[in-house]
Amino acid sequence: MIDVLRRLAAHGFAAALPDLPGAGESLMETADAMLQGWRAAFAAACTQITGPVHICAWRSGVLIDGEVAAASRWYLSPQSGEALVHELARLRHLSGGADVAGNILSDELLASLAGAQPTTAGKLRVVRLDSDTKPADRKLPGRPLWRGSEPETDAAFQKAVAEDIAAWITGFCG
Amino acid sequence: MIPEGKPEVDATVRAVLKDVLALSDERVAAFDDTTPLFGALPELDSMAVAGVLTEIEDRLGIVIDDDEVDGDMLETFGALTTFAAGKTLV
Repeated sequence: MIDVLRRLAAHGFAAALPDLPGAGESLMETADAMLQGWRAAFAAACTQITGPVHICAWRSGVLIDGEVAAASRWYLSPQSGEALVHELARLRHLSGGADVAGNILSDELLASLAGAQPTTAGKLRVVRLDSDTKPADRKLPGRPLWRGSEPETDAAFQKAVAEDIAAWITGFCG
Repeated sequence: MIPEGKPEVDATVRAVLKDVLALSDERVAAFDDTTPLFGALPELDSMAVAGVLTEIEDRLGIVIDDDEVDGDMLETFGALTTFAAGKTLV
């Protein structure tokens, strides 16, 4: 994801990747994270940006941008909250513990995620992998890197993603 | 496209194992019904099992109940494809 941001910079776009409350380097405990808090924090972060905001979200990241009046949205393999919760429950079930890969998630967070849906209003482009059977504006060849146990990269895929995003946003700059 | 026959299910499961576990074409091409998976493939840890099952669900348009997931269905490539085909080809 960071590699895509660097590639967007090379295309002449300023890009920012926010840490959500309870994730990344946030001071909040993951157990205290709430969907509404994520949405509010993301919207607050967007107000710090001058000029039009174009949102790029991967997978379940598409569930938290609903409060932002964005110029456009670009989604990679968007996922419903129900599908996300199904995956998290499976991870918890298979590991036999109370955590999800080392993270404690509250019942409130999971309950609110379960009903969450991606934003579909406004200018929207959906890109998926060519192995994905769901509809999309474009399908790109590549592996689902988010399925691996360890972070992985795919330079050719990341280049194609950055080029698609750059072309999409450029279309609004006329 | 949802597969309509066992060979297509086999091909889909093979592609999922290759993509999720980052296996080479040569390795997955050599898989047959007796190839041991869980416990034999170092790449297939419990985190990876979750990824493999969810990706199979997505690509085959099926739902796998976590209570159905056990060592038997993951023991061999043949067991996994037979399980997936049983869900897909109804």
